[in-house]
Amino acid sequence: MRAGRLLLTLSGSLLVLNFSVLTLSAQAEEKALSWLERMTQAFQQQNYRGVLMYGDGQEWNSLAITHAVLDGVEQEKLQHLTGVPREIVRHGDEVTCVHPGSHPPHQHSELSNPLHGFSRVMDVQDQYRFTLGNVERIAGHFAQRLNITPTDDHRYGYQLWLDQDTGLLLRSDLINSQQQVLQRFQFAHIEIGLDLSVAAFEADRQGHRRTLNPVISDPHQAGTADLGWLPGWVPDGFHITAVIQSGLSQQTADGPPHHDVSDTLPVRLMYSDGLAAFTLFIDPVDQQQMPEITRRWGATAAVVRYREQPFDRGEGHLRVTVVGELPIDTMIRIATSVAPAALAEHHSDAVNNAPPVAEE
Amino acid sequence: MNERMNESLSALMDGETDELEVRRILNQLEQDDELRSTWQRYQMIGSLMRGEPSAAVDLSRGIMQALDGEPMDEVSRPQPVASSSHRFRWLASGAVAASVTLAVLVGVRMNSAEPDALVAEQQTMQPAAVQLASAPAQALPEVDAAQLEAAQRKLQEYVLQHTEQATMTGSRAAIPFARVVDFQQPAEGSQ
Repeated sequence: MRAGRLLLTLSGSLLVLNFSVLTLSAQAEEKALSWLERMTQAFQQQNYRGVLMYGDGQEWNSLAITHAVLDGVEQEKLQHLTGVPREIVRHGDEVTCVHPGSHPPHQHSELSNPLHGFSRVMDVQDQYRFTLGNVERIAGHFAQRLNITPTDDHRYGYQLWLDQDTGLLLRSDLINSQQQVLQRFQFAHIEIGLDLSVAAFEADRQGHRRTLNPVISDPHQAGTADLGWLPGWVPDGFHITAVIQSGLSQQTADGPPHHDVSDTLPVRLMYSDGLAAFTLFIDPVDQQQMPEITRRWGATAAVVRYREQPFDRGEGHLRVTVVGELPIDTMIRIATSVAPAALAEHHSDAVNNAPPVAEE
Repeated sequence: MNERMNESLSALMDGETDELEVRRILNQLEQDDELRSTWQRYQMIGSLMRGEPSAAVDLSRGIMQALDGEPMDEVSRPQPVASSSHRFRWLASGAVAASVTLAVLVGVRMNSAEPDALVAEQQTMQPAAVQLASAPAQALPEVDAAQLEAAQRKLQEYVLQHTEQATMTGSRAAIPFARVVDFQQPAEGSQ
């Protein structure tokens, strides 16, 4: 009787213990996520000025960053301290690039749905695990380490070091599944909470200058209804965040978006899972025999594959290009899954359950 | 040519090797005829794609000179490339990387073009980009140099578009830094 009660009490406590362990781990994850939220806000709201080092272990560069919010408008100035002298100044949505020489061929782009800061980041919980690490010192500030581990092999992980006081990102490592650092950003020096004036964000007069005017339209327009071609597979958690119009139509800030329903190509789509992003380009091409391309530069990779058009869509081939910060195998699988939209959506589930395509 | 050496050669061409590795490969090149011919083939395709006339000049000497800190001869100077094509960021990283990348077939995997045909051309005629581009069909089956170059340019344009787009949207995203870096690509490509 007594022993029985003891057992009952014991198993009861075990249950409570078990439950509290679960609660604790959920709490830990919540706490880690709240750091991510702080970081996002800090980036937009804090005034700071510092020198940032970045590179992939073989090559290192540095950049001077000044950021402030003046009269409710974000101001940002980036000056490259290595390589060709160049700087980027941002006033709100207006970006000005100043550097010697002319710009390479460039296409106007339409932003239909800029990533919604943290509201988008909320989706990442299924794709990444968030844990807090130790407090370490970066650029003279005590920083909380935040580990972001992907739950599958289709994306990279991050380790972030965030200023304890403000949540500002002081160091970021992009890590592959072998725990190799593909890209690191780290402040060498930073002053946070400065008083800055508009004068700090004046662009130099010399050199070439260009202003980008992103058009921000209704995010609901970024549907796939008008698109003739879609990937049959993208990793879980990736959503279309922007439809980029081809430069042929010369999209302008005040002109309405040009939509020719009969013309379903080319397709330009940007996808994001909240942290990582890739862009898919689908173009009609004449040539049959073109080299397929697989390339990686640090964190960014590109894959080019060719597909045959189905009979009812006329002659010719499609060139499918995927550019993004994802593992190569994932990008190859996305590129090879591209199919006519109806087919892609129909087969989407089946393809999603299929084993990875190892096509080269 | 064994697979490992092939990989090393690819890495060299991609500018992804460290100095020791570069020296090792260049020493191998001295001793291995087959490897050397592959290397020359790659250089020539690279030159073709950039529309340069100096297709047959072996760049390995220039690279070695750069490693040894000696002044580089004309062949290894990055300027001709800079003026004729867009460069990615690794193209601009110091003398060694620049001269290594000069010899690069910028990442195109030759799935369809038959490289041996190129070598034959190289040995039998004065190598000039124009001549090779207008060579008989069997010299460059299915793919001509202009098409290759167009494909290459298109890819670079797309990488720029992606990074620019990511940077523009990135200012509101969780990881803005991951995109800041890529702003330099359009700038360097403009040289």
